[in-house]
Amino acid sequence: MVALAMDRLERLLDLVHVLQTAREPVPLSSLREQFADYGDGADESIRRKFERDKAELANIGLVLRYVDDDDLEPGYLLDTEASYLPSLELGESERAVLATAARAALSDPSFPHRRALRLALAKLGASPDEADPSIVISHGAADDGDEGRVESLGAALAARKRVRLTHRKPGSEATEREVDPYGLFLRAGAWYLVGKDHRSDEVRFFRLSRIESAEVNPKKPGTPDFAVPDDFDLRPRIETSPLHYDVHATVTATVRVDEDVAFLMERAWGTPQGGVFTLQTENLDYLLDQVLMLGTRAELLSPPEGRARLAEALRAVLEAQEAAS
Amino acid sequence: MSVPEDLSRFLFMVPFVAARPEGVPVAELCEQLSMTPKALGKLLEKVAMVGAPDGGPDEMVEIYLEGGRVFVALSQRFTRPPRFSVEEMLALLVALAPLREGAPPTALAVASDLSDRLVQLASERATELAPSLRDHVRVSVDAAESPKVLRCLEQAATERRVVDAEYYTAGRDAFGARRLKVIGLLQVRGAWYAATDDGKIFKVERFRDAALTDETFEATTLDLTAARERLERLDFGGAPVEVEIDGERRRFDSFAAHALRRWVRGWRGRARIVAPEEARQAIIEETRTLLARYE
Repeated sequence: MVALAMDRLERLLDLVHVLQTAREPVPLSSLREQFADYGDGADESIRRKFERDKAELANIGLVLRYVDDDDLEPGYLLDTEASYLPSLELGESERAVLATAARAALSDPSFPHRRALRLALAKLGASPDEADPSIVISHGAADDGDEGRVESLGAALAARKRVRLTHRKPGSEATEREVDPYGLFLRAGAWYLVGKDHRSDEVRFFRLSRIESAEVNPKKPGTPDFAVPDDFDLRPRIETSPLHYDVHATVTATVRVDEDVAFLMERAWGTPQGGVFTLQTENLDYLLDQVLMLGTRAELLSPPEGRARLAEALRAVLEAQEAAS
Repeated sequence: MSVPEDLSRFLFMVPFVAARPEGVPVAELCEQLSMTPKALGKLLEKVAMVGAPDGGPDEMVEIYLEGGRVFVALSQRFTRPPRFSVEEMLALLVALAPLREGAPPTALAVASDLSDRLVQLASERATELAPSLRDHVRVSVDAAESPKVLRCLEQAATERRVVDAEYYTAGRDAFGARRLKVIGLLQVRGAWYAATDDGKIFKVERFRDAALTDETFEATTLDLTAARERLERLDFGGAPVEVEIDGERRRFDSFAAHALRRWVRGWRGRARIVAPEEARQAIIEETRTLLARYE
């Protein structure tokens, strides 16, 4: 039998074909006879090559099993049930929701794995054109340069690979950091990475638009560099109100808000008593921003330090506007 | 194109095309596979001989291009596409996240159940990673809206029923009763908005209350594109203004008077209104009033 050298894509597809049509497990020795690429070389190097192919197929969803049955010679088969998509009937509302979500993702250049999303939709026989016309989602204009970074950091997150970041805060020098990516999230049109920063030895947030370069550790690509701690939970971290960012010790503040607009703040500040909200914060500056936004409709009653800082902020606003007079 | 991508494409393409004896137009396939016609042609050349290396022609997959369409004459046992890969699963879960985490109740329930069903279709590798991917890649939504109001507006849009609402108009700093014909809901940058059939947009968190009436309406349009585009470019109505921020001039085509003052105040002296003059005078006057409270 003459076995010709093959293109890698062709070899992998032929391997799938052979192992899904075989009636009995196919030993590696038999594959070596059929596939020129497995033919020459030491047993160990051929086995490694085969294992790499097996891992490549697993990445796209195909599962090769080693079958060691008493009655048959041990070997490999493709597990068709574990590999191929069972049929799934999507209801009308499911198709509409999926299409609505997909349309938003596909129209956002920063959205991760858009090509994979298109293929997944095609596998489901779904199309963004089926979106519910009464619900529209837009992730908003992404920061410049997010495109591609979300995907590469998402891949590092999935593979648990450490990344080397060059990160620059506005008005600061760029810093180099080694980060174990624990999570990614999109908030108000901007993507953020959250991970263990080895420089500070703490879990930190990094806005992707401030990451100038990100290099995923190329060593041992199939082996994780770290484990995400069991107690790590992204949801509370991204849902934490900025009022509770750990800037200083807890202070109690009271704010009077006009009755007709008080409801706007109830989800953030709780229920007012007699038109006055009493709340605790570890980030007074953020509360001052909120009070400033409410303008004449709100007044910070306490703490005195907050009132002094508001006066200072308002003087700055006034000076800036009067400077042009 | 990478080998894994081409593998995925081939394994999708063969059963998909085989199910359509009339062939599939190249353009349709290219869109689904995110590739150019030229790249598709190259891929088809590469995979023209897939089968057992020592097998005969009738043991090969036969896929070919003819008259601008792709045909499969022999699909062998490639009858279903592979389960979802890690990237596909991640893309599906992240795409559904805004609806799963903070949508109007009906859409939220469907998105949540659908996500669970899709995870059942993941490959072994993706199944291992799916729970952690779902938890570790998120799309944050404001969730500042009242669930009761969101539910009411969703129902109003679906059933075309008029809504009686109490709404705070931030641009005019005015609170009042409204009678609205809601045609749809939009989520832009994590916040929900209701679009009405007269082309107006209302931020859902500013509804103090909303109640369905028995009155129904025929919508004049169902196209929310214009509403989405206005929200994306932060156009909430108003006059043209010019502002200087950190020494840099910026022009806005429209900015409501009250919203402009609120926004400029938020910059704490780093922004100043350049034009129109009456807007600058208005913020000076309002800031003096505010300052008097704290001095």
